[in-house]
Amino acid sequence: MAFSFFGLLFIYFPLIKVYFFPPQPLLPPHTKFSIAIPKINALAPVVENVDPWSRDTYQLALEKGVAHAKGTALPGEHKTIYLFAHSSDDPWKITRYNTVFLKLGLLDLEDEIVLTKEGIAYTYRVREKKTVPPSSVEYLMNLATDQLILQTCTPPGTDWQRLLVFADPV
Amino acid sequence: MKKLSGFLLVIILIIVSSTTPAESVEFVISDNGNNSSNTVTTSIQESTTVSQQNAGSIENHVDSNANTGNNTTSTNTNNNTTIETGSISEQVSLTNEINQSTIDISCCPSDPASSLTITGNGENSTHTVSLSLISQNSLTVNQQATIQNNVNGSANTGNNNANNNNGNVKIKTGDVTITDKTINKNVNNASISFYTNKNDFKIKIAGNADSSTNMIALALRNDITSTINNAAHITNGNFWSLTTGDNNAFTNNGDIYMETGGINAYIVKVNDGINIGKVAMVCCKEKEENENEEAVTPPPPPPGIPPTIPPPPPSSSINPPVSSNNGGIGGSGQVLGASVGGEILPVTGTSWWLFATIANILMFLLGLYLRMRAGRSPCYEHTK
Repeated sequence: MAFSFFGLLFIYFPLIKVYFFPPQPLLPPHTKFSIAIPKINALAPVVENVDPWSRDTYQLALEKGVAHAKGTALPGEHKTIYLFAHSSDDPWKITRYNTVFLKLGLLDLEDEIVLTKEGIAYTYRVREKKTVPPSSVEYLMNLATDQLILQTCTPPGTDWQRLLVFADPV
Repeated sequence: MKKLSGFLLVIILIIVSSTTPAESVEFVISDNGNNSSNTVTTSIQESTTVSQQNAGSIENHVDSNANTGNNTTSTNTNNNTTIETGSISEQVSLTNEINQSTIDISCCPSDPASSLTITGNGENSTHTVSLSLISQNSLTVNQQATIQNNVNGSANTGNNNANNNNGNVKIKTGDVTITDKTINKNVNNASISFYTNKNDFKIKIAGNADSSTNMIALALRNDITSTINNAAHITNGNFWSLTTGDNNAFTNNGDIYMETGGINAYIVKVNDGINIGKVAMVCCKEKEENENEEAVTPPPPPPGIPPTIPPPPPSSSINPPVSSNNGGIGGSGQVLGASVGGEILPVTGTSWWLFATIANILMFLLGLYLRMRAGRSPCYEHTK
């Protein structure tokens, strides 16, 4: 019984850490591109131009922070910016940054998201949240709209569906 | 005292399964005299054959062309010549679905139980009832689909010429963005649902005289052959010519500035749910017991095998921009292409939390159960 109790503790350590002992939001030095979501106390560097179709590539990038999908726009280009990050990961891989989207589902309409690139802040407001199946790749294709899309897996602890948060620039 | 049954021999033979044709029979051998002999042999056969054929062919040919380039301005004597072309955005979307078959063999109304009885026969009599129930069912679905998708497109903002002009020359070409999506889904999907009837039997051998020999032989056989043949031949051809460069500026007197637009090409090909067959057999009795459940439906087809990713679309000529008084061929373009077939959005979660949680909970409950079953700890007795 004790073993199973500690087993559960080990498995849910990331959740416990985020909800009861949230790390102090900090960025690594010399970060040029970052994302901040005040509502859920999220702050992380953004790794630019990560291939979203190569799992080996983006898994490496996600250990360092939030990934920016290659082929989508960057702040200031007035097209769709697509960022994705883990909501959960293996307990031994947990770092300060790689489960930054764990509480993404708590965002409501009009909540703010701030992207900072090269010292310039770009503010977005949440317009919509959507849960879609993993095969909905059209959100990574139609990029003409000036918007920000954040993506993570849902429910936390699984990879069954994708939670998409759409935000418009302010 | 008369024995109720003398030499009693009952053989019930069940060859295959426990299902039988939907048929109710009654055989009674009774009140025959001493030394009598009766034999009843019956064979009931029924067969059902269902065959469904689907053959379909789809051809899609799409041509999509747009051009803002191919501009020429030459031998201008005024200062400064400018060519600026607009951006192009093209979208092509094809979706194909073909050949869906459903065979649903429903339950027959339930029949009363068949009855086989040998009673009240005299001494040294011999009576035999032999019943054979055979059901043969053949369900076949043949589907053939041919799908050919051809998308040919071009987008050009380049191929501009500015030659022999007096003054500075500026050529700026627009961006080219194409989105080409081809989806083939639910191609050759077949579902066979077969509900088998189950008969009851009442068998009675009783009240016969001493040394009578009585036998009931029951043979049941249910053969079901279901065949699903699906053949799909799918060809997806996507050919695009995208140009923002190939601009010329020769023998101009002034400076030359060229800026070519970017090229974004997103080509997605999805083959999902191709050649799916499902066969389900359910006993009618179970179906009656679960009347509120919905009919068995085919599960969501699994994702299809991603097709071969085509090469990226052709790009503009990649040369460094030139700036000189003598002109030259210039052009540079940034090509961003993503060609995706059957991919999914990035995986940003784990897949083992749920299973690990269930395993731990089961371990915990097992431990609790063993602990409670063991009673008090031996140490308690010792310390007491």
